Amino acid sequence: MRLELANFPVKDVQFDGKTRYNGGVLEINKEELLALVLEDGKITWANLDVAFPNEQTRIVLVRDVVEPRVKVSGPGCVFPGILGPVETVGQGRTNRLSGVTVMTSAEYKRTILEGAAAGRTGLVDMWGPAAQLTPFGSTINVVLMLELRDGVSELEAHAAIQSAELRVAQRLAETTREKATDDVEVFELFETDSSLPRVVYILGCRTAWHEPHSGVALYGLPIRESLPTLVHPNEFLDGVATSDARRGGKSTFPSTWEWMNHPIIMRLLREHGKRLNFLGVILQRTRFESDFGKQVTAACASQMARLLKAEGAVITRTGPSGNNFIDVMLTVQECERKGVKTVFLTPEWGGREGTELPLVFYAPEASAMVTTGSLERLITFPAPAKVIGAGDIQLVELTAGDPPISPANSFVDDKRCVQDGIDWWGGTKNTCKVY
Amino acid sequence: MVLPRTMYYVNQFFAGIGGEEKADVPVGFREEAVGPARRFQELCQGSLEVAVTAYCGDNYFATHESDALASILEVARKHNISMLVAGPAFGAGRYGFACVEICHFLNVSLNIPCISGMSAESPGVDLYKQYKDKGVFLVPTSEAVLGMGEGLSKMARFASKVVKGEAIGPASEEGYIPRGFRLDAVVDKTGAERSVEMLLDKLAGRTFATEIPFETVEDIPVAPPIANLKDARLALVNTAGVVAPGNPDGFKTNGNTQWKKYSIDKMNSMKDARWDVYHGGYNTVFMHENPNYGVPLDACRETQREGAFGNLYPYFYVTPGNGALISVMQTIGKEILRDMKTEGIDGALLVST
Amino acid sequence: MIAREIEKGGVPVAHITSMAALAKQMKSNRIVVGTKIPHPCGDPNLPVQADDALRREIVRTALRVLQTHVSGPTVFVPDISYTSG
Repeated sequence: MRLELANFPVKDVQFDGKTRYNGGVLEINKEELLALVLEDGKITWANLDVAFPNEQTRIVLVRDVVEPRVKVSGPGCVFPGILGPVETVGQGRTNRLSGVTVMTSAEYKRTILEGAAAGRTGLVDMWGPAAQLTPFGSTINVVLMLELRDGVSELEAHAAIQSAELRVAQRLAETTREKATDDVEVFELFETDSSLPRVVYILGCRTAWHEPHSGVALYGLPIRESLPTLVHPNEFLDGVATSDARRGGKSTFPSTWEWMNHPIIMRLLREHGKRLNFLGVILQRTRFESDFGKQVTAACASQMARLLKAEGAVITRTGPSGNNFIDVMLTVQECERKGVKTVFLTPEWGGREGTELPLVFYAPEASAMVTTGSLERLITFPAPAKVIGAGDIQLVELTAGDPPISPANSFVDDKRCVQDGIDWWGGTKNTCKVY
Repeated sequence: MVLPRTMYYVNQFFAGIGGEEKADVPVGFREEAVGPARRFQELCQGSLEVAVTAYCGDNYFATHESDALASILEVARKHNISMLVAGPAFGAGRYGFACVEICHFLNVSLNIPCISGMSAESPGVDLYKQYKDKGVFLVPTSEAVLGMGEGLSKMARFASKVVKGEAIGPASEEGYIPRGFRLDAVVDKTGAERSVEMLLDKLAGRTFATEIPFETVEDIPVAPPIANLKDARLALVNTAGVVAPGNPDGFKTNGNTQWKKYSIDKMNSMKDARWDVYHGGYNTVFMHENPNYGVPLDACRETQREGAFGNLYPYFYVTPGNGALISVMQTIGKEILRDMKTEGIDGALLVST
Repeated sequence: MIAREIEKGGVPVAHITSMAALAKQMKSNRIVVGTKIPHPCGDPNLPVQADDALRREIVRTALRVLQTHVSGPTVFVPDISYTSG
């Protein structure tokens, strides 16, 4: 499975003329894209705007973010199972527009009003202290704003929002189809020197089995109470993993963009054949709701690593849930007991002042931990000069049931409001130090 | 130029008064640098001045702590002290405790930085870590007094930095014993890069430094079992977030700091009344349909009717447990306990999600 | 955490939770294993009578546990069967 990822960097975006990519500038014909989106009868209103890094702009009601990519050769398409038939991807050539995102801001009438299953939103600041918490403070964000008609079910809302953003992303990536470039990176798990350490990546992925969308889908199929699955890293580059498009924010579910640009998968792919032998990704669904379920997934994930003859495993999790953390810590423990050495990368708790326990659950075998900072610190979000978002953006409810905030003003809240503001996968240089 | 005025604390031995036989000597003061304070002042190379040395017998301090602290504070105020230095206490137990207590007291009362030195194994270190005073720093020294020269140099170097108002970085970089504050910081490698480096080191058998150390929670004493359940009064507590309808007390889905109790008087099941559920961390659909899942009232009434226990407290206690800070939960727990004691509650059933 | 503070005050607590491993680490002394996180005291997948019986069993176990001497964190499992993880 050999994938060429051809990179077309975007330095500027303009709403002008025809939709095309021209020497680093992405020109977008608004009417064309909005017509595309409005083909779906569930969407009653749509608009596009763009936000640039360092602008004093705040984007609200963010539900998901996508990178424009299109397959120009090889089986299948990007976002298989959703934009095209189910077909194993990760081979051939895929073009990407880098430095730009399609960021979806959507408003719809929720039918689940609170609890973990309710739709929620995030925000992105293009400047100030919150900008560096997320990759989107440094990308040019094409904001797709949507309003849905009344009476949609939660799953219909997800499907409508996701379909709109993926089709817009695909249309934008299509502008590169006829273009040539030397900026191509090749990803392949070729046979390596047998002396290189065999390393597997266990990707703990929080999903909910009984919610309308479980949070993460593979090939478009929401992952529910399944046991670990082995995935080729290239598949992620072609968009096999997508996020619930109604639920941004509270950094619970990484956006689709993050799945396509996974920091650890990219790092291990690039180290393959150099310092290690990357065996693949064990996608481990977590947050089993009983100790029994947690023990089973830990046993199976560690056994899969052992069957692959892994010597070491990098292990991570998603979702701020403490209960979810237990599944992953038990997996660390089981791997170590089976002779697979682990490094567990995770953000920590620690309370508002860093005086409380950093973790909610410990296994003595977790001897190699990497921290990406605390998820409990408060930051002051400064007042923006411009706010972009769908619907009524005077008052925005970040999590269903909580008092809303006024995005045009300054407010204090924790990092979790920021879309992809928690570093689950080691993409930032954030950490915690002891004082 | 007026140099920052420092108070230096030593015990009776280092003050030159005597050994163990003089451990009952009360608090005293000399308006000059005495004992190790002299060498310390030299090492500070003119960045500060030891305006007064305080001393006290190790036993006297242990048995007259509040008096000793009060008089030290008074003298510190009188001399307009802007920093306290104590020790080094090396491995000495009572002296180490005294240094930590004085540092803590003066830091809290005067908001001045306080520096001390002792061996990392000294019992005073645990107390220092419990206090977690942002302005108190312990510099590690040897166990034996032989390490005086080096201990004083370290303390002097550190004190000079602090007195200049320089920001003090993480413990591992500055060389002090950590208090245990874990604060956000930015380094030069991403988490993904650090993970790969750490794994390769671990696989090759090289040393590596884990970024989150293993910690355990302390045991709590077991409350004795209820001797006679038939006469007992029991109460229901939940962190599932079952609250009064309309959420009149404004519970949030995350990070609550309050608790309440709601009446279940005369009810045989939670379904006898309307309730709301506030908790952002689990799918509350089932709890909404049947709050008995979090407040098992129906089952309690049935077992009560069978005579299993005497009395069910006519209220249940609640705070939603999602995203709760440990310190906040501890406070809430203590308050609920106080209420339970007032209400004569003998045992509790606590349901958490 | 709340269970700890109540117990410290001498009032025994029967801590009903589906996450026994966590409760044990947090040093709750008397832990009763609940069904599942969103419904610790019962199971909506069961027919109503079975669900009620399950809840009674969990409560009975909790009552039993309040009368039991323990020497440290101990997990008590009510007589329930697991349908899924």
